[in-house]
Amino acid sequence: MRLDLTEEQLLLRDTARRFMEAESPLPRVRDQFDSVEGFSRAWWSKVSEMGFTSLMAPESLGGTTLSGNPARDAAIVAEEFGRAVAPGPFLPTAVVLQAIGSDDETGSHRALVPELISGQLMVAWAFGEPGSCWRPESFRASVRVSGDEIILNGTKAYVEAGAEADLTLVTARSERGLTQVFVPADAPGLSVTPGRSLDFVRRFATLRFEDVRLPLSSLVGEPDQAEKAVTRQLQLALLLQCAETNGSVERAFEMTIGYMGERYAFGRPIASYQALKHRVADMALWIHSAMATTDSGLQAFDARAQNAFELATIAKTYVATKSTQIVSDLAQLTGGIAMTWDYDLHMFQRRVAVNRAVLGTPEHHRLEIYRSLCA
Amino acid sequence: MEDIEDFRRRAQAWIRENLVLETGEPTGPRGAEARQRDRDLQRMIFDAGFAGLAIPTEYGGAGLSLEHQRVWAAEAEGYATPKGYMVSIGMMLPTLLDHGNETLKRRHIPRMLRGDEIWIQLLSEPSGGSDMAGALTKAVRRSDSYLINGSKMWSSGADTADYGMCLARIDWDAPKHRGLGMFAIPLRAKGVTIEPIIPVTGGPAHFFIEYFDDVEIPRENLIGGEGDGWTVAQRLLFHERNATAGVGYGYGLGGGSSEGSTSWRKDIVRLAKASEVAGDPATAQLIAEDYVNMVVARQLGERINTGMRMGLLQGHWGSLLKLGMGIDTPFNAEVALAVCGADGVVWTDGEAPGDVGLNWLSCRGISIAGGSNEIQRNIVSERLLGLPREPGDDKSLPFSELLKRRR
Repeated sequence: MRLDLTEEQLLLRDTARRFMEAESPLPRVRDQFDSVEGFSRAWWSKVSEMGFTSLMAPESLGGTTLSGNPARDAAIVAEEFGRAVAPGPFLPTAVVLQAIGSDDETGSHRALVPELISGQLMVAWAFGEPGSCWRPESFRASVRVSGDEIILNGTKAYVEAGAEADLTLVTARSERGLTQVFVPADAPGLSVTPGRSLDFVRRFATLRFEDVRLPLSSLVGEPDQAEKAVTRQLQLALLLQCAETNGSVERAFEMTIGYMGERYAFGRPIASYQALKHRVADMALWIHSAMATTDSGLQAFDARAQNAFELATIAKTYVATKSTQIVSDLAQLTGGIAMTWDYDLHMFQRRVAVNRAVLGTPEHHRLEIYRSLCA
Repeated sequence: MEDIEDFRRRAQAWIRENLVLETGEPTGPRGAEARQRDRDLQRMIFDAGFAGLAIPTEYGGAGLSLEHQRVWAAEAEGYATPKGYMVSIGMMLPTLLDHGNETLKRRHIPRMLRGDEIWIQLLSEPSGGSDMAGALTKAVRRSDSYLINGSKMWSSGADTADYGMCLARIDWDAPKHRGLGMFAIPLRAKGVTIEPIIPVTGGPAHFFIEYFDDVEIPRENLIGGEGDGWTVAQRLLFHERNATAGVGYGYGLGGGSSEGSTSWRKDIVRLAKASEVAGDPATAQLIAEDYVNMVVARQLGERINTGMRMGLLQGHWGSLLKLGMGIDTPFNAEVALAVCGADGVVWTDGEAPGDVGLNWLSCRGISIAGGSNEIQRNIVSERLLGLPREPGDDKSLPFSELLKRRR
């Protein structure tokens, strides 16, 4: 969370927090555990009615510019999703809006925006591939243009809301670069295998494309030229994911601090033991650092700074590394109750562990960072 | 108050006209010649009205704000600015401003700002550092003076300083924290002996031990009241942590994550490429983690600075940054050992010893000095997060009783 929020941003945060508390309290998140989708269309309509989905959309297409820094505004909402471990494809929606908005060449998908921000149209982003592969250089899914058709082949994995989406943005390799296309859920040749995750309500699907034939109008941007756009999408996705993780960690931390003040052992609150509170102090350092690096990344993204990509990967690396360490140690500080289904801490642990891995582990990003340091 | 952008233009113009670009001098203790250059430069900045930007004009400052100080530091980046004033101007001066009497403030603050007088702190003692309130140095009141006896340790820059702020015990029957006073001691006074402490690297001394043998100082050199010594010391430590972390009054005086650490990290990559480990993924992980930590530390510094400037963060946030430095620095030194292998710790006769091994040996300096990591963790957990203290009777018993427990 930024410290220097504008009045409007503060209002957005408070509105989002109150909305989550009222509409998606933890028991309701628990109720969705057994559902197939993890969330309902009705819930997503409510989220959309609040205007949360329109933050990443260009103003000319019905979007809302709050501060002129759309990623920072969206991150405020992402953080509240994290605090509430709430369901819904917030991140894919933001990424797809980013892709549509930056597709200035053709602008052919702008008509989708109103449906998207109203929540009628559900979208997903198919990026990673099986084997936890997040490097576009190593992608195997391929697109080729043949006459007035596009032919898509390959497999995409870890697609958030991939089984629920009406339309999926697919990033694939083409002869001379990366190409992005929109694939409708009912496209012949597309088979979707729904999947669950450690998170209570976040579902990920595997999508197989076998000679999926699409009209040229499905292209998002020019063929072979998508690398820049994909880089921007990935940055945004990493940063919103970081913001969400920060929200989850912060709330789990607050919960645990509260518990440590109430729990007595050997005649005093366990919060008074240096052996424990020194660990809490380190966590406070890491939490503030995580927020600082996320915010720097967002700022660079909105400003299109030259080092924006590096800062986004640094944020992901730091936030993901510390987040699981923190929430795991919070369980240790809490003690036995944290090992039970009924105690809520694991809901946050689950979201954080999923976010650590999806879009690349910190280990993956460190290798990338090392490569660029050596370059 | 001067508009910030007007100030920026004025500062920029003066800096371009009067300062020269930094040439990358080595860090560490500075020779007499370099110190004289520092003093000349500080005087020049003072005479131009750019010293003590956030200090009131009646004490020789510019009467502006910390925001102006930040702008000055940003504009002066890359230029040679006087070194060696972080303690005197960044820590001692604001403490004197907070607690000194008018006589002391009007006499000394302008001299400090002009670089004519350098102040240091005299807090830790051979018998204790973290438990600073357990000071054993004695102050005995006479009719219009105090007589100081005892010794202080780890005082950086004592060889070249003019004054020291010394925590000494006045009342031995009061509880530990309440029997203390803070005194301004002229370091060239009769009865003061200063000896160097050779650091672990074997290099030149940068901290010292001082012995006070019936040092007589005037009554007005008491900073705060009798019994307020601990309050003043805490304020001093607060400014120290801020200056070390590069926030508050110390901003731009050399604290925080500097460019130096950037180049040091780049060196690690260069060393890795020159050695067998270049292709080792485990070492690559360590190098990247170290690099990420460095970038994030700077981002955290900016965040805390912003928060403090805007008044959204108040209190002991410097401790959070200081703790970060105290954790990152030893990790960085360890990574360098991993990367350099034998070349970091073995060298040929006649060659200068490698920085890597020596850096590792001295890396605990930052996690011990200026309030150890453990002290910072207490501050963060108790003052920032509001967790309760460990119970203990050292706050309530007469100090003379506590002393009987020592063996």
